[in-house]
Amino acid sequence: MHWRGEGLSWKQSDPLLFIAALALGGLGLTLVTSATWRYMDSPSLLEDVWTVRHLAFLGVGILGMIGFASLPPRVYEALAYPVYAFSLATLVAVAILGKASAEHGALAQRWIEVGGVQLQPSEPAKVALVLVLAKLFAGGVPGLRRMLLSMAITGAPVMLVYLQPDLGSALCMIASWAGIVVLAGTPKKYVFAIGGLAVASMPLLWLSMRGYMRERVLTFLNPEAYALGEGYNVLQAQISIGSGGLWGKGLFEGTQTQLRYLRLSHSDFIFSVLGEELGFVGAMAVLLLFLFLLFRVLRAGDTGDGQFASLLCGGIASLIAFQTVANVGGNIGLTPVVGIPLPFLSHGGSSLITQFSALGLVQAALVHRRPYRFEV
Amino acid sequence: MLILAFSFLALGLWRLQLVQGQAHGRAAERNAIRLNTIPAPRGVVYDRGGQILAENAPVFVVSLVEADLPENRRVEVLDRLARLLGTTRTALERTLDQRRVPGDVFFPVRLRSHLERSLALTLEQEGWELPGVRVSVESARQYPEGDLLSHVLGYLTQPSPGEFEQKYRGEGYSISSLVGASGVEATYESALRGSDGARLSEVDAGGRPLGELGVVPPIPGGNVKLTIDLNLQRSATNILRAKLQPGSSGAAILADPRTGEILALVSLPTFDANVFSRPDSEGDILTLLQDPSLPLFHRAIAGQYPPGSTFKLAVGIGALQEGVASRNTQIRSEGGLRVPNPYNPRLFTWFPDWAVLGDMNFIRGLALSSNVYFATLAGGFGDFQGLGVDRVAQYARLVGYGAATGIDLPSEEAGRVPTPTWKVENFGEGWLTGDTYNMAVGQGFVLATPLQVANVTNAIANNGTMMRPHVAQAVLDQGGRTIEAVPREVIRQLGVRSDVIQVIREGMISTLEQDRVRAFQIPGVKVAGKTGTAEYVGPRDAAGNLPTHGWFTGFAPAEDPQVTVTVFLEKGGGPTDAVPIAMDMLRAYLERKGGAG
Repeated sequence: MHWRGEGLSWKQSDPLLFIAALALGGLGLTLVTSATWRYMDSPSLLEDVWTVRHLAFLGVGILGMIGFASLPPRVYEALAYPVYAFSLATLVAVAILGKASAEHGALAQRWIEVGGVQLQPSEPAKVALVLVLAKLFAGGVPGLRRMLLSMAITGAPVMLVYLQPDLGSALCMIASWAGIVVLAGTPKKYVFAIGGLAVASMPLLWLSMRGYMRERVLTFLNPEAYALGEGYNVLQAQISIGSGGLWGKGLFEGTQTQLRYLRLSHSDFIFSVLGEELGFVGAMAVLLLFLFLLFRVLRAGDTGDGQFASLLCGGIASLIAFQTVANVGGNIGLTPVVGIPLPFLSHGGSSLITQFSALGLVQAALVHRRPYRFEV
Repeated sequence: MLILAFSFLALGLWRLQLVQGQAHGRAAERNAIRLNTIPAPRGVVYDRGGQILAENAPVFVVSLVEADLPENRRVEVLDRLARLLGTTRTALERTLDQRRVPGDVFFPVRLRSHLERSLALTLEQEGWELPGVRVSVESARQYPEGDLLSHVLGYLTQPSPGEFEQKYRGEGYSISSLVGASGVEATYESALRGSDGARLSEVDAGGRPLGELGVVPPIPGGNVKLTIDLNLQRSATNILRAKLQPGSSGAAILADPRTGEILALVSLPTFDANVFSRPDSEGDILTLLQDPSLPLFHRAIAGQYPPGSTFKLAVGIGALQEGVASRNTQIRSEGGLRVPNPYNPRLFTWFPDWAVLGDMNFIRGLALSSNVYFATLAGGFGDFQGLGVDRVAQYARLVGYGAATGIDLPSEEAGRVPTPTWKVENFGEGWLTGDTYNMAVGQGFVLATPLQVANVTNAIANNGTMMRPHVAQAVLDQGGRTIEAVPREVIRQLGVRSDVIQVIREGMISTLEQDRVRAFQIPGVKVAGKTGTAEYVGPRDAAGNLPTHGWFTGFAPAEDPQVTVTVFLEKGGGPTDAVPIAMDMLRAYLERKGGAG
């Protein structure tokens, strides 16, 4: 296929965005190593399977980023519906063929095994949703029909992941939908109507929650009362971060992490490892890095050609921003823990590769833009 | 909006790390550093010859520290553990519910003790798969002689939460500590327990120790050496058990009258104290508690029975000391006394002697155990002025009736010395001469423990000193050196003339020379003693007689008393049943002395 009339200039990519992502990825690798190296009998980093795997995920993610950046946004716009349909199909496949594993005392079915590799289709599904929503809203000013259509499009994967059950991914999808709705210039009346509807449906949501989800909300409200159950993780996370103080206990030196009081320390609670070992200074630096990265993504959206590219970048920024705030908020006890990985840092192949690839989509908007577009 | 959300996070970090940083730092330390007690080994109990009566056997115990068991693995881990222990997860959860300490998630909750060694090793090996599960070696109390000395040694139990708060928390016990609940284990608890040590260690989240930060070694408890002679205890128990009527009970005491040392202390039926330290023995303990023959009841020191004619010793001492009688006071028994009814002089109550015994002096009266003779000494008859109830009660108290002897064992009873005031208070009736007669022969309202009867004999045998009976000799350290000797304690001197004791002893020697018991004598050893056959309210026999308790109390050798023996049978007669048992026990004692010396 030829894409005439479009330039491909790597010079137009955003090296700062790339570097910020790489920095977060490298820090994630270090923290995952710190959280897992003691699981091994011989404390040699090369034998730490988590480190090795994480490194591999990073590599694939970066390759994916470059690969996705090399295709122009028009391709993605054209393929949005097929990709969305495919992602829905994978979610349905999880529901039917997926591997169940016990999590938090309840069975969850979030994984599917393909050729010996465990995949979590809800991760790429988040980006697929952003893709299709960007295409939908790029078509013109949103009216009622478009709004309802977007809600149906979002509702389908949300229901599928919510039933897995995976509350975190469902919330991520809703968040990126909301981000795109706002960025697309939806009339205020719709925004307020939807907001009101959301508040009104809270009790309904509570009633539909699984036991573990309710427990997490209750735990968030009072972690000490659940010190041995769900609250244990939250409490230990707060102890970990809190005991880090200003400068932290030093890499590989955090007692909470090293003695394994902190659980899931390499995945959902990686930020607690950061807080414990690198302290307030380290944690703030990471937050600022995220903020910087998000602004670069939004800037790419503004710079790129057309409404589709802009909404694509906006949706991805919403997704990353929501995941970061929800994850860090859960770690420091400001929001309930909903099992959302920290973008670019948490261990987990599907999530890491998806996020780096998503940045590839953002870079694509920059790389393939027409130079001097105001002269056309 | 983005900046707002991130500022919110930054504020949260600020609060957590900088404002509350120190508190969280302490929490992290508390997490990782744990203080575990190292229980002090409890002291061993020996008999007077150094044979072990109570010791500690190592047992493997599996416990669970719930703080170390991740909630999401709880079901899996407990299932796995239950499979290894051959039980169910539900059963384990039930045990946890019963034994966990509220508010202390780091407390190791004992799930099972007395594990097989191989099972303990398996659990150790699977440690990484079983977070929170801990295998430890603890010591369990063991009584190698089984039921032979259970009343004397007692046993250990875990105090109830209420008891723990009241009695034990302040003494440095932990909620899971076992404490002496009866016998020597209870009396000498403070000497036996030692003092627990502590180990400060860094542990990981699975509770597995990583390194030791400091150790305070435990101080083992002192060893207690008893005055009990194990072999004599065994012989005495076997002799009594062999002669006991089926379903009946009895007690026997052998003591050294010179010191108050108890050489053997038998109470039947008995129980095996090991039941209390065995795992899952709740059912067996319940059976013991509900057994109608009351095996847990220490009859020798807590059983209160009419002392029968053994009480005549107290009456005799009083009558001789007060000059109411002398060695030669003659009284005739025509088979009983006609006691006039105080309200109607034409009516009489018959107070029977056991036979028509004719004229008797004091020696013969005591030797034949004439009820008429001692009733007359106590209550008077015709022109003969008796002691009167007040002086009878006074002398009964002097020789130790009506008050616990203060032996070094818990739950001793005091018995009862009745008085006119007591009768009015309890029956609303005045005291009659007939009551004095009944009291004189150890019937009616008088109650005594076998130990009180034995201690009267001890005082007579040692010429008038009430010694405090005791079962422990000394507390020894690990090297066998005496830390603390149990003092030889005098309760009081009887303060009676020496000829009083001499006449009583003459009467007691004569007792064993009477026709009905002569056959039981031990060749070459002169024994002195007093029999007793006390009626008690129960089903009458074919001839219409009330059932009787059998008593014998005496000492040997009569000229130079070294041992006293007291036998009580719930069902039986003094001369017919108690005397041969007591003689067999004396034989066992003398053989031992002969063999040892």
